[in-house]
Amino acid sequence: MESATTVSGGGAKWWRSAGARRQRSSWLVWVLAAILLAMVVPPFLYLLQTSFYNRSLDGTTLTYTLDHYIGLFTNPRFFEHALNSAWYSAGSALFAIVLGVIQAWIVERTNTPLRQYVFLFSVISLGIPDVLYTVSWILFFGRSGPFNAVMASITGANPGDPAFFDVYSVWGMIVIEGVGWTPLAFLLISSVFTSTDASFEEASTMSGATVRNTFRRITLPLAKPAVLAVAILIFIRTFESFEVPALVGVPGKFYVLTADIFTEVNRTMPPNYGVASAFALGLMLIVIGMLYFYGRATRRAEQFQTITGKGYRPRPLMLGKLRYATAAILVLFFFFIIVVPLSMIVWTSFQPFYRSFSVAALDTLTVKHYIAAFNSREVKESIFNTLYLGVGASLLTVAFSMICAYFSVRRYRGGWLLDQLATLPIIFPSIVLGVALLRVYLNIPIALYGTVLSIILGSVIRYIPYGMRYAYAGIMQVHTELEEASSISGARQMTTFFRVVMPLITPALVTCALFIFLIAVRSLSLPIMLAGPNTQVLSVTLYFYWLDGRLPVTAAIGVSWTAFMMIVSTIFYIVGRRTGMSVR
Amino acid sequence: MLKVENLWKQYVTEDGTPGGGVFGANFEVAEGELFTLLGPSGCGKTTTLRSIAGLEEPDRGRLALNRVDIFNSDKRVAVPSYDRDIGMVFQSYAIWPHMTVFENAAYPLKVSRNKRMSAGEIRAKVQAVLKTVGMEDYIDRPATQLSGGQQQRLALARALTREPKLLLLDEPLSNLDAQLREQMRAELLRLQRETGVTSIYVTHDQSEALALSDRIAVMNLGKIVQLGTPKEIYQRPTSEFVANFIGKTNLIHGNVHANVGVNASAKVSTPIGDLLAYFTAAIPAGARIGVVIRPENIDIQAAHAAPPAGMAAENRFEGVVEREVYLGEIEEYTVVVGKDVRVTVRTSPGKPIGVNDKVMVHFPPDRTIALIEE
Ligand SMILES: Nc1ncnc2c1ncn2[C@@H]1O[C@H](COP(=O)(O)OP(=O)(O)O)[C@@H](O)[C@H]1O
Ligand SMILES: [Mg+2]
Repeated sequence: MESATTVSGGGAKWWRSAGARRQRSSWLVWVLAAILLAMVVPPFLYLLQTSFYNRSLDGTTLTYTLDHYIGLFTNPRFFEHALNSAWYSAGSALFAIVLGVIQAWIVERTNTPLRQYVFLFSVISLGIPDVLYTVSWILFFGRSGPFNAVMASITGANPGDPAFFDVYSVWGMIVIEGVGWTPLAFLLISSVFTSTDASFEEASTMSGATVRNTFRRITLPLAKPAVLAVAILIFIRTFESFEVPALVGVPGKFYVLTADIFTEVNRTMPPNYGVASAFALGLMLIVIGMLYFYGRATRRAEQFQTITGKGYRPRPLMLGKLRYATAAILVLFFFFIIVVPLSMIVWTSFQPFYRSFSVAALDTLTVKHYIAAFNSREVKESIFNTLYLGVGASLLTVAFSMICAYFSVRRYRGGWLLDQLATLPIIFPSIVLGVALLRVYLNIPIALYGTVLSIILGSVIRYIPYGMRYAYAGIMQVHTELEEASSISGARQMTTFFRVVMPLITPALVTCALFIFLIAVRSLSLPIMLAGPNTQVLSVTLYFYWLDGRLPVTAAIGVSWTAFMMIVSTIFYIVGRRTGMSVR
Repeated sequence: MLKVENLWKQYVTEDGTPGGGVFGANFEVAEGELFTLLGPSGCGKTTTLRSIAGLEEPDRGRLALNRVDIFNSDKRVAVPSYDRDIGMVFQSYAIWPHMTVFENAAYPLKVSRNKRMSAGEIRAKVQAVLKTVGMEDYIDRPATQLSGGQQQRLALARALTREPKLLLLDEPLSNLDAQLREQMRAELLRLQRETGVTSIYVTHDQSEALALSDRIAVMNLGKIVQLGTPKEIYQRPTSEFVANFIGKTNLIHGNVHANVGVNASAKVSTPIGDLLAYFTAAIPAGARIGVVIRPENIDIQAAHAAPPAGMAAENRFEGVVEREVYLGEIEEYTVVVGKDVRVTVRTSPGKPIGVNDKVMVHFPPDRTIALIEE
């Protein structure tokens, strides 16, 4: 298998295959492979073991049992909640895809004014922490929120009537999660539109097909596999998601699998690790199954995306007066993706206690929550922990994936194994990884349990697949001959790597580091499983403050943190543009 | 058949400044002709072709196909691409990956609104067309499993199934490797002759243009600079640009003392002495002249040898060989004539001439072309 991957085809190139057959090797490859295995295998094994054993009440003896699985299959809860998960994920994916396709089409294929700013606001929106984002939507759609107030005045409902829209329902979850995924759906789908050769459509026109016929027979079928792939991706990520299920689903009594796992571990005394593990493995199996379909869809999509280089940018559709309507749609998107969530929390953060928008409430504006937040030792610690987490996770992930990607791209002996192993963690949903690592940390003699370092390590495992993709693409761009020229000049391999390869891939790595920083600090599901009482990070702090009903303080912390994160995401946008690395 | 009048299309770059394009092209293509647009990259060939196809809207001008306007900026006529009945082969081939070979080739017949055909008729027609391009054995293969050459043939078949009035080809051979390119070039010529379809061929490769075309329009900076048969273009360039672009050439500066009419011979004074040259354009007295002559048109012999019988007495000069390069089927000499004018001469190998030898070079007056200096 190894040699088969290294010999390049083409009979005439004897000189090249002769050279390539002598495969380079390095002991470092095996060390890296061992580290990767150590990152992936123990969590999995502990999960498996936990799911098959019962701990006696005094905690000393383990007995083998199938109870957790029997419970899984006899209790209708698992299937019911799996179905809930599927329902909620499908709805959110559909929601995000429809909005994403509309946005991408307007931006990529028409002459709508303002379209060039959509990229910027889509990337910036990544800076809002998930918890905060969900909270602001709950406020917006809540019983006394502005949405229901406006709808009540339109429909003429009385104060005692049920709200027009109940946010604590599957519909609320779908809307919140769906809107949340819209920026990413837009970014991914617009890259599908730009990477599909425009002459496919022109060839159809030249064959005598009308605009409508071309759209139906060429544009749509060509985009279908890629859009399907994006839809499956969002479906999977929503299936794994925890923030909206915890904040909206649980109070609304709409339970999904991720929330169950959390409940068994964190809301049950003593923690019911066995059941949680069985649930986690079930969730993992479902995710693996869906990843298979995702892989198939992307492979098919890649076949359709031929970037010929000389392809023309298609002439945008000239919309005439209609372009003001499409511009209005874009403004509406901007409104829903950034303005609504932000204005809700900004407003709340300046009120002494939570109250909805009103002119009367303008008199009571106060900054006391900001002062309280910044004087709180707890909040300060949490902010520092979050920074450690973001910086630590992104630096470690980038450094590690850079070296792995190098050996893999340059086809060292065993390089393909590194690639495979580093991609493997995508089968762990965050919450599952959280439970699994908890079991590991509780059972090893190293005092990692409840430390920030434990969250950092978890995040490295979780985000290494993303790091790999960036680093891989970056190193692919460095032609082998650039390295060979360095060797010929007398540089040793290490020198070549640090003086030639590193400087060339630095932009790609910076983009990658920023991206991982962004996603590591905004997510709740991994930290909430791993954080100890003294090592909370901001997303966890926000979550508990919200549960405690300390809404204005939550908002004040959130606003400050979001302001900082938006700067980070803007830098990410600028650097990403320069280096031509897309967001994934 | 196709008439292009004052075609004008200028792109606007992203920062709003005016960019390249095509500026006032005029030409006519006759029925059954293979007409080539030739020029360096960026000179506006593709823009011209896409304007004819209707994929680009010209700023102004007129395009008429069989005397019917398909575009006319004065009368605000712009027939959409799909109603122009023009076939096109794209540089990237644009073979739809979600269809089979048959589906690709049958597409124009299926979507066409004026000629409805039954499924049987379509099948028969597609089979016939695939046969002419040698793809009949691949009829049910998915398009993603075709090699570059096969995609090229299929693209050609697809453009021909509808029997369009006009066929447009944008650098169709540029994505193939050298061997295949030569083979496809011959095939293309055969197909065009067989079907008799009027074609416009775009290329930046002068040897391709010379080998294929009935007539060539040479373009530069968005304008057509010369139009003629391959022979005319090669032997009687009307500008330094054309002389240089189509093959290697020598250039000697000089001037004329009297007015010279078009297609006449006259003496040009140059640093190496008077040269009798052929004028492809009328030139006024005193104008600065560039004299061009192709390396293979120059005769060379050892200085002491007797000139062959019948060689004209004019345009003979003594020189010294400075460099000799053996190129296989030809030998190339660099000869210093006069004080410091270097002339490249190409000849069949085997002449008893070496570096530092004294030689006699002769510029045949009808192959020595005088042009206005650019
Ligand atoms: N879509 C476009 N936008 C802006 N400039 C363009 C566009 N297409 C072509 N150009 C410019 O117009 C000129 C002519 O281009 P083109 O017709 O493609 O040249 P050719 O096919 O001869 O290489 C070039 O300078 C090119 O940069
Ligand atoms: Mg071109």
